[in-house]
Amino acid sequence: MASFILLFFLLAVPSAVQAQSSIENNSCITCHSDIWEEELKMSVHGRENILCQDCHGGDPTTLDFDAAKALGTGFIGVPDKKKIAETCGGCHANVETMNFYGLRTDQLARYQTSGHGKKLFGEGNAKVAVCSDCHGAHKVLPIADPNSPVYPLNVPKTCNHCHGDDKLMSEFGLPSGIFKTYEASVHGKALFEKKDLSAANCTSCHGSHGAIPPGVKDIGAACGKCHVNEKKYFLESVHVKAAEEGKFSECISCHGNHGVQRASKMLYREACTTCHEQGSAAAQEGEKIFHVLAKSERGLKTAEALVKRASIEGIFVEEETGALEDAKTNVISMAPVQHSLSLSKIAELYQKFEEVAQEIKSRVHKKRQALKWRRAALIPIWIFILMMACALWIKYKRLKGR
Amino acid sequence: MNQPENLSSNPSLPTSPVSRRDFLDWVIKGGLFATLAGMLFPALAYLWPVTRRGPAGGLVEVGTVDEIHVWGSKKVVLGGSALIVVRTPAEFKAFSAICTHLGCIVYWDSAKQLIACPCHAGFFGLDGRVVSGPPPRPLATHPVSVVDGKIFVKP
Amino acid sequence: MKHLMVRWLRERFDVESIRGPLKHQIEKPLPKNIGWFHTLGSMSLFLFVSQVLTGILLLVYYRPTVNEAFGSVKFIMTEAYVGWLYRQIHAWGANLMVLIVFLHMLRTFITGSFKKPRELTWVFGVVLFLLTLVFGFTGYLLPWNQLAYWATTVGTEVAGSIPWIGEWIKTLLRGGDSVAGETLSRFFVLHVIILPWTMFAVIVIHLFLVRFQGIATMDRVGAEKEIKKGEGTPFFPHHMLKEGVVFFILLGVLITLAILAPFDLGEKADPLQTPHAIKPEWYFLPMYQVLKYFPKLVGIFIVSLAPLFLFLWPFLDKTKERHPLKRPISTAIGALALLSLLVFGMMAHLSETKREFFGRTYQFDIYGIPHPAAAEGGELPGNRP
Repeated sequence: MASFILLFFLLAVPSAVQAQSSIENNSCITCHSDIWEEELKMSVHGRENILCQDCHGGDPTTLDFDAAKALGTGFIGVPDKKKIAETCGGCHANVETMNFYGLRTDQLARYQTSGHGKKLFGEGNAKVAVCSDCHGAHKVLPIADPNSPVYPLNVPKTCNHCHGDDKLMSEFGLPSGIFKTYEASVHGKALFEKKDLSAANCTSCHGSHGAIPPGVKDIGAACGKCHVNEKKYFLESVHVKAAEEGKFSECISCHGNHGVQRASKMLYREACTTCHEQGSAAAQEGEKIFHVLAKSERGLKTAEALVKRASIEGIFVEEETGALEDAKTNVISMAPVQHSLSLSKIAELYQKFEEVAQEIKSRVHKKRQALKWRRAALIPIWIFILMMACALWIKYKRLKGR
Repeated sequence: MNQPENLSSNPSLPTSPVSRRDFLDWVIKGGLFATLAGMLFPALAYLWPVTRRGPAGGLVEVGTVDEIHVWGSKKVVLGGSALIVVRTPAEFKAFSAICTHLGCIVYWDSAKQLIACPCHAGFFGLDGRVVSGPPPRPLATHPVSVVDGKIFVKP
Repeated sequence: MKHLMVRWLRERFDVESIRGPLKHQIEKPLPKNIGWFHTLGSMSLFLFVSQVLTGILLLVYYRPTVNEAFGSVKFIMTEAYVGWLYRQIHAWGANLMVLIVFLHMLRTFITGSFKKPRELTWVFGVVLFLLTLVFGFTGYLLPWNQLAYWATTVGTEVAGSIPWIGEWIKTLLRGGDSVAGETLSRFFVLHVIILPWTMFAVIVIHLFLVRFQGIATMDRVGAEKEIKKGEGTPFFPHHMLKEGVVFFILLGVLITLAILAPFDLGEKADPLQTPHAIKPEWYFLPMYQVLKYFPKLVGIFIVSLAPLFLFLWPFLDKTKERHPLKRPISTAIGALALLSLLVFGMMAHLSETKREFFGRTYQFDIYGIPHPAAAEGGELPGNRP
């Protein structure tokens, strides 16, 4: 009976302590108060009462140093990398546990498919990243917290902890300068300079938990997640077949990958000839598209300058400004449409643009003409006024002379 | 440059002082009359109502109810900027037609029942909010009122 | 027809007894010294009538609310037929009116016409000049554009620095703490109802005094000779013809300015965005500049002395002579006042701008003092051989 009661207590006491959530009574915290105060307390786990013993094991009910870390308490100390993934997965891969937090549960499964996970679980290589390398260990913060290492603005730096390490990367035969390349890219600038959180960071293309370089076939899918229209029109282009055969890496063949720059029409002169011979039919087609694009850019600038000048001249150009938006739409639309590499489609847009541009031009011209007429009307007005003035003056002279 | 002087030096015209004075009086009277008429007629023309569009400010008529079928739309240029009017079974809605991403003019995608931007596949819902795509901000909405089958929008 | 109408009137009114005095007034002989400058008064009246008429036309489409004022003025300028012309003539007419009323006053000063017995005519004339300025100030706000909004903000701020009652006057003028819809309503009412009728009444008094006492001659005070019949120039038709000549030229100038130098409407008033270096209209510039040099209170005191002196001038300058050269002190003070108006006005005009003179760029500070601006890419002063 006594032993039964003892057993009852042994089982009941820890859960009672957890339920009461008394942090003061947690003996881990009593000694490791620095970790609690500086890291765990403000983490998502600390706030949810997920405490030391939940990951590290041990008995938080006893203040006795040895008893707390005794064999039967499940104390593991600092977990190794594999253990980390499994420990986190213990809760985070549990659908029931995660349900009310609204969190996904596929992170561990994805991790196992990632470059990191395969190395760790397949080869036992512990020099790869696990959960804590990106999320932090004790101080795990929500993704939306700007201080979190996985907050979109911080992701590239977090990845760069390892991927910028020359020595470590050489072991895997990977480059280590990607952060710099990315930083100077259009995505990097959008993220770091404009603080645009929706700009693509490492995980946008590589995935986060399932991080892996997209293969030739998957690049279109990766970029197409955001660049929807570009992808749509690309599928109409002549390159689709080559891409399906794995000979042509959809987007990056022309745009590059980590260092992707703001695309300009100059790509038609630079990128086409990397595969097509200079002067070949394909290269010439590219040159033609280049010309239409150049023509529309020039045309748009001219139209904008015209409306601006007219407004400085004091002409009301509200309607023209509205039409300008219309003209601009056609030119901006050329950017995604050109991925079809269809000259006729681009020319069609140019035609529409040209119509609007001409309309603007003729309207401004008409308004300018009206102003000219006003000025011209001054001539007959002054002739009449001088005539009247003279007539009245002569009459005055005559009356005085009488 | 002026008539009276030219006329007085012209020998072919009657030169008797009486008729010359009469002529001068005639010029002055005619001139004053012309001046008055020249002031009056533009004023009357100015007062004639401008039927094209009511005075700016307040609501501006952009079309009739019959013009837009249910789940249809119409683009209008008002106050130097483009607007899109969409008709739902319940009401008319007007939005700025300028995409908040790069400024393309959006269109009404009746199949998706969303406002779509042709340039980068941005989609906006019928409350103007971004449904998907790159636009950073929702489309500005404009108050609409329908009176006697005519649609009025506040620019 | 004409005969019938005359008869109809004669049967009802004592036409004969009206005709005499009317004829007397119309043909009243004017003194010989009357010249071209004596048409300035009639031209002021013409401009007032022109302002009233174009003002009425503008009122047809104008809407005095914060949301609609700017749009309605834009409507007048773009949609209504020849609306642009009426707005420009109204705007230029206002500017010319200030100028011409001032010149009329200057003429009266130079010919000494303000002296006994015409002191009251002068005083009412000064009232008319001040009313013209208030007209300009209130009308300037009505298009509700950026310039107007901020010029009014600054203008009413000046009133706020008057001791004791300043804050109260400022709030009264603005109809609130800041220039807003209430200010627009107030200024509108002042501009289209109160001021026109006040001005009309004062003009009637002014004109009555002028006709009643006759035009001043250049004779010494108290030694004015009555003009005998057939001696002077009859007002009608002789002087009227002269006025007709000036009237047509003024009309031409007005239309020409309206077409060649139109006033921009600019941008709609934005209370959250102050434009750089806001300045009042040119006729307030001298006063604006003087206010900059003195601490607020002293500045207001000095500036308010000017209209006071204008009012009191006929009672201060009591010499008998009218000819400007025969009363040198009076003329010198007048010339000095005119010169200071021009100098301060010019300095205010140049202040806070960058201008080029003789190939060098100067930056004018807030007091209108030029500083050589560092020319971009230009040689350094020390590098000169």
